[in-house]
Amino acid sequence: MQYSGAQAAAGNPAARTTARLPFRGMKAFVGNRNNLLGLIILSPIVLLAAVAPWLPIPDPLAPDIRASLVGPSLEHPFGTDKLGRDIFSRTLSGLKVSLTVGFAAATIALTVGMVLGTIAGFMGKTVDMAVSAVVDLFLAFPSLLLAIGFIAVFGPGMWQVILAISLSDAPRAVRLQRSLALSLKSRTYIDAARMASAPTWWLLMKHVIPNTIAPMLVVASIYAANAILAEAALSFLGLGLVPPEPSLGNLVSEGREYLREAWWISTLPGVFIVIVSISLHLFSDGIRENLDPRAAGH
Amino acid sequence: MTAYLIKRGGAVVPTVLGIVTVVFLMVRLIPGDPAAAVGGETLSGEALELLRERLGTNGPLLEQYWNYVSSVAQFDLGRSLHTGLPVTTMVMDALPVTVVVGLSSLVLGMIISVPIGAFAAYARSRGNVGADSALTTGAMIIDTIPGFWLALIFILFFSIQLGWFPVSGPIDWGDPVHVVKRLALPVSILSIGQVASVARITRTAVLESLNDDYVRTARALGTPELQVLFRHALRNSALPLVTITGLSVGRLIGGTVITESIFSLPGMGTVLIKAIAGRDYPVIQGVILLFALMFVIVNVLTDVVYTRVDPRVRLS
Amino acid sequence: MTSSATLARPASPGYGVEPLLSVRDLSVEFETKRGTVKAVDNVSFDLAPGERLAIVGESGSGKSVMSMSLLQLVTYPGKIVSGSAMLEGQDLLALQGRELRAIRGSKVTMIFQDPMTSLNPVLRVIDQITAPLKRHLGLSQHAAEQKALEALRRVGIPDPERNIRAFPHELSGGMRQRVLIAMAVACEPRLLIADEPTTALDVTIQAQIIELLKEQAAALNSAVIFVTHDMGVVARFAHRVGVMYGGRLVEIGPVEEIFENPQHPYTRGLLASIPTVGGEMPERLAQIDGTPPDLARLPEGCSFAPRCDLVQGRCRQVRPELTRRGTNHEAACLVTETEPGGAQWRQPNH
Repeated sequence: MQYSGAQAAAGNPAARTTARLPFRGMKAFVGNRNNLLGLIILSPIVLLAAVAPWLPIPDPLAPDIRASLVGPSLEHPFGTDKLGRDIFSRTLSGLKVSLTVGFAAATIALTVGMVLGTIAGFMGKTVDMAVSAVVDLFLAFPSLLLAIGFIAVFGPGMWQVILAISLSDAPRAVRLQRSLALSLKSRTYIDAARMASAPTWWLLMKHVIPNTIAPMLVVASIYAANAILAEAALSFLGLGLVPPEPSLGNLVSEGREYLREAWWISTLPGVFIVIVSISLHLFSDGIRENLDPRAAGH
Repeated sequence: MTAYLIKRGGAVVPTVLGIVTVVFLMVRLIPGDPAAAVGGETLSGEALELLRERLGTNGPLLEQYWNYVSSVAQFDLGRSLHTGLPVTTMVMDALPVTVVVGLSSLVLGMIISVPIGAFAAYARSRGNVGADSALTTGAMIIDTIPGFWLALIFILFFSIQLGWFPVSGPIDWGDPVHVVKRLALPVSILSIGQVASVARITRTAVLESLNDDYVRTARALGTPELQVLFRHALRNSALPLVTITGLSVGRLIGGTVITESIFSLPGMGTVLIKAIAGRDYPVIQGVILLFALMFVIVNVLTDVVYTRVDPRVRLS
Repeated sequence: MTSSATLARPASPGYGVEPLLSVRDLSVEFETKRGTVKAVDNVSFDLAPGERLAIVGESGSGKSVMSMSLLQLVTYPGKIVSGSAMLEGQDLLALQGRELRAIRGSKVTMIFQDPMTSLNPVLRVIDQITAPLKRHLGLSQHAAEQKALEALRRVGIPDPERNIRAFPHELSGGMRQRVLIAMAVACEPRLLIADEPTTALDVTIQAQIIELLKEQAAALNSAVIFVTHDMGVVARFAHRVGVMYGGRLVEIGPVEEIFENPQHPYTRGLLASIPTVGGEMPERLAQIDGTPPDLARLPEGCSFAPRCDLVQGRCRQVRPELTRRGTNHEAACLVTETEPGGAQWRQPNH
């Protein structure tokens, strides 16, 4: 809109920033189409991964030499690999591993971010400078490189991968939480609570956490999506989970050698990475739009 | 300008020192004795001592640190534990491939994604929500596709099915057609990885610019719409674009490691992965250090470009 | 009213001549979440060559939208839904693509409200001012530059050779508005549309800019549509005044007629706010009780009825049309139209 819209959009940046912050608690999570769509896609996948061991499907680790490299069929919807293992069961099993890694890494990054970010924002200059210096240092490394370096030192494995991935996301989370905390600090209701000599922990619990949790969850769901991609990438490079335990990345990686004769081994498990990642992005977009309707309008 | 560069360069010194320190600490963080971890439990005392020396983990920690920093300052990154070659040589041999692939995908990514973002914004400003949503959703979906998976799909289709591009074998730099064919897929994969974020930022920035008054002035003076979009709106969106380009390089570096490994390109990523498999720590350290330094340099360049694209940004 | 004789205003270029611009039934709507907003509602008027018409009204009266729609500059979600604007045989509202762009910036040009934001901040003045010259007049870079310098000199930019190489942020607000005027007059337009060109400027500079616009328009014999909410400006600038309220043109006529014998209660309200015409410019618009109408929910009858002193029962049912009140003077009010007493009005304290 050229006329009034231009004025509304260009004017009043203050209104924009105030609209973004004081969104309290759960309000940000309801009533958005993208949000819902993300959940609708994600829930059955999570459920499927969780109940996979009880489903009437072949054991993901059981070889069957007679069924080596069988293409997708009714019996094996995603086909089988060289050892005759069922790719569909392996995908579900890998899905569980990937989701665990993704959510664990995002949770760790979020927790570290909220704790250190709040401390940096509220505890005064020296602490702030120290935390910020460390954050800046880690952000000076490309994030996947940081994860690769971590694995190079501590070796592959589930927990190493989770820590490696959260190591590359945590600095970003700290920085975001710090800026949210700083902008809250200058707000009048915090001043009012201060003047009423409220204890710091009460201040944090009552005002800071509820006001920052929603924007932090926006990024956390992106972190989870990125973590799933990063786990897949690390496993693909042979730096992630150790076979035979399947992760989605391992599956794609294993299929690489058989691309010519058995395309399904790599491609089909990869589809799940995409779907999970899309649903997490939709979920994140939904919260973001609720937080900042202006951005959604565009 | 020179004064600004010196100042901005000076601000980088602590970052670089921090990076060198982190890379130094990497080896010291290996649980137990790093030399034993590298050489195995069976190594005799004398061989172990030799290995420690080559890893630089003998002597007091401060002395180790001093030795490391001073050799890095002299561009000495140690020698490979396996081949005995200087790491600097290995890295420098691998650097051209990585830089060529990285830069071409950065440029190609921009060429694809900036117009996508600009047109999405334009469609939106004209009330064509459908076209905008299609482009935006498309960008999001692309963003969620893992590059290595897409790479395998591309190989499956373009190389195995159609036979258009070779995906292995040495690169013959003397034959441009061969080079283009050999690098086409990896460069495409890496540039597709940029599309989503760059297109999204471009769209947001251009949409905001299209609402600005000078756009209306330009239209009132009879400026053709393509010029309104690219000469006026897009040029005013340059700052966020430069920022995202700088950040893209970080992602690009991660992507290079994977892409080089898939397409067996003899670049720094391949060197890194091989070194990790062989626990060749001096090489691992060298590659990570160089990648991190490249990222720092790009960030400095970003700041310098800022002052070039927007006259309102003052050198300070 | 005593001041009209002191206005030092040239006589209107005359009536009965072939109009330069003929606007008929112009309507513009905005699609919003609250429904369709009729920002401009069936506006019609004529403009003679070289004539200066002021369009006054509150914010939200549709005056800016109306002026921008003449160059089809109203963009989504705004839409011109009906009407024509004939200028020398061409309908400005029906032009498209290349033809439209050929008119914009050459035959018809426009100056906007805020000089601080109306110039592109990343392009030098020279690039912005020569572009339309090259485009419309087919000039070479060198010739365009010469003509641009000449235009800058005409609008009183000091040291044009240096300032033409400046970026907009290096110039003051008054200077930028001068640059915008230079851009608008460089191609010698037949019609110049100025949308509140002085609102964003200092009071002292406002007067200079108005004089400049008047001078430039007179030199080129360009007609001007001058959108403002400032009645004081109207008196020193225009030949004729159109008053807009709630998207409609409620009164139009020669300046002296409007000032001495306003026929619409809203016009009277506007005039009542001016301490002395032609003297100090008022800081703000008239205090008329009530708020401007909600364009998404216009009342059935006269849209001014809820705020009007003279309101009668029929005003709430019948929508008044413009009717003749004097030579070239029309107003849309049911009360003053029929009641001789209602038509007599004297500004208080004069």
